[in-house]
Amino acid sequence: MNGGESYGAIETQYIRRHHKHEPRENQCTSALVKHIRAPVHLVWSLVRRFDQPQKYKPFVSRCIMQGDLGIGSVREVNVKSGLPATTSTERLEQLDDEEHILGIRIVGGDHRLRNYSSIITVHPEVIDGRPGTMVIESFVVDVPDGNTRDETCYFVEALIRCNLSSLADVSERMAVQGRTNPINH
Amino acid sequence: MEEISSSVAVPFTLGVGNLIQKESAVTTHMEITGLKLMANTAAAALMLNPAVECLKENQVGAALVSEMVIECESNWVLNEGLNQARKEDELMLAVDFQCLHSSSSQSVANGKSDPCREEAALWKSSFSEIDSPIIIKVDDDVDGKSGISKLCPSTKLVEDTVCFAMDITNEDQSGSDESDPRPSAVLLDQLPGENKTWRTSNPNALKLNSGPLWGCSSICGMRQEMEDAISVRPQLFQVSSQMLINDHVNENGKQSLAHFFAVYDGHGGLQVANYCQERLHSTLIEEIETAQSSSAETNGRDDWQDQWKKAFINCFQKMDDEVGGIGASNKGNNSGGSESNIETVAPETAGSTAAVAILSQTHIIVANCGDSRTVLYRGKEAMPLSSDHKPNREDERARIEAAGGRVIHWKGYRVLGVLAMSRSIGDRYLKPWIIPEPEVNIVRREKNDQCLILASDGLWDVMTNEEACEVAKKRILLWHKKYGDNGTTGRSEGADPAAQSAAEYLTKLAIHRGSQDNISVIVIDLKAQRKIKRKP
Repeated sequence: MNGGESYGAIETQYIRRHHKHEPRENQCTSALVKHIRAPVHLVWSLVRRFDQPQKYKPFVSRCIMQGDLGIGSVREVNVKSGLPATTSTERLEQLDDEEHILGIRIVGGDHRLRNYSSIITVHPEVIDGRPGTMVIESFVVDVPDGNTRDETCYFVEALIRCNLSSLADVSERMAVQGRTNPINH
Repeated sequence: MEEISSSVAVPFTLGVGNLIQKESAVTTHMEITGLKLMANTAAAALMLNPAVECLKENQVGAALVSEMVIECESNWVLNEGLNQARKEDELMLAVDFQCLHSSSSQSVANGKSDPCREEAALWKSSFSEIDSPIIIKVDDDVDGKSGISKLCPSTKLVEDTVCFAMDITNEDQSGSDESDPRPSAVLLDQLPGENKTWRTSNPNALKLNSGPLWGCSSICGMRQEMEDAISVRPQLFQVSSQMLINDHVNENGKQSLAHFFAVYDGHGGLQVANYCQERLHSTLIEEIETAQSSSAETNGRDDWQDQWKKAFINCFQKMDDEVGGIGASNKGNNSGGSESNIETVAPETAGSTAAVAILSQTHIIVANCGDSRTVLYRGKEAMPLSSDHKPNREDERARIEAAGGRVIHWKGYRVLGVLAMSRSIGDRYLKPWIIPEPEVNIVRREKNDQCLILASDGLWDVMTNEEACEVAKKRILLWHKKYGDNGTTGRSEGADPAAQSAAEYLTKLAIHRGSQDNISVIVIDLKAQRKIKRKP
């Protein structure tokens, strides 16, 4: 790992087991961890929607599926303004509802991210005595001409960090709504 | 050729799409526009026959193109048929044009293209490559009577485009009405009885003396969504002399009207730009009043320029806090069972530039945050009054890196490789590296000030300051040359048609230059004398 982050023992176990990338010489790789105060089933219900990333990803303005849903399906993502990209074409590589694993590969777009592959896993944990979720997202990508490995990781991590932060906001809000529903009954 | 034609056609189509949701508003504004323009052209008789009107407009357009070619290629030959008075006016205009032409020739000598020829080429290109509705759009600009296009069914597209620009204008005007009473009331209460009486009895005279000559244009351009916003608030507030000079001896100093202009270029969503359009001006008034009160308390020891900077800095910070849900939202949990999370004004990835200009009788005060820009055309010099906040500006990069961030070249220099500007209102996810602090610049007005231009980077990315200023001045003069004599009977409180034609021309020119962004432009004609000369 050249991300330079340190992980706890549990995180390290999950990363070893689910987040193996074998970067080539001109690639960089990293993994990020996010703790969310919402139950696993709720967080996973957002993460697994390959056809609707805009539900929690703030940079997505629109997503169009090409063909049906399933391993190998491809989505065309339109990106909001202000970012160094307008579109991204992404393929669903892995979707495991038992182990809560989502794998995606970027196959096109104008973002300069070549041979980008990412894995997202969600894991149950307890936060302040309540069910919570640990989300781990890892990636591997080519270092583009003109940039350093350090810069590339920094850029991708910034985007992922923003996505995970938004995932936390959305799912925690849904969790709060869910908790208050029984009172209305 | 096909590509050019296609790129020219696309923005208007998208513009229409954006306006579908505002159908009723557009209808209302068309009526308002029609009424206003009729008032502006009291002497003009409205043709009742649509077909004739269309034909006439086409002829006018063709004549304009021919005349532009002649003006660029010949030595400003004047028509023999003009009467003596008009000859004198034309001669003065010709002298101005000659100066402009000399300037252009100098540009050619320096290896630059001649703007006149370039414009003529653009017009020719327009005729051969753009279909009929757009050509009629050109006619509308020439006539300065966009309301007329209602009579031509085939120009629906044009109507929508024109009314969209006017829509912004009218919204701002009604807002101005709402904003005026409070500052006036506050300031009037502080005046001695004698001045109060005078001010109360002569409100119209005051407005007539102080009305700015402004025009604006805002188009979606090549983007899929419109995220720009413009705010124009003439006579927004009155500013005391203590806020414009270090004069604390005369406590009963003269008040002067100040006008507010702003361009907000949003990104990642339109929420922040729209919020600024609605709120920034009134928040600024509050901060100015606070600064004036503070000045009174400290017995006027504060420098007046520092007061403006403080007012703007506090105003922008407040806007940034509010769009982020700070202060304005209730953070406590609601035990009643409803949602405890209050929605913020904008998502954390939405942000906006803010280019603000305050125009008073004696000074222009500019505040900038982001990469929109304000430029003053003084004499023959284009003076930028703001400096773009780009991440690779040395001091900005240093500030960002000192805060633990990085500037990465990823399709241009970007904060964290993500955002192409170093300051903005909003963009919570990029704090503390992105800050909302404006840079404030105050300049005294001078006799040779020509015009002031505020615009988003959709314009500045494809046009130099000098080009924009020269084009704006040329279009203003062209309008007065053609319509100044018989068109206007009095000062309109809305947009000035000459400045409006300049703003619209600049946005069209930016499209032709290949701008890839929303384009928003405000042009303010600072030469009041032009109108005075035109009166019979």
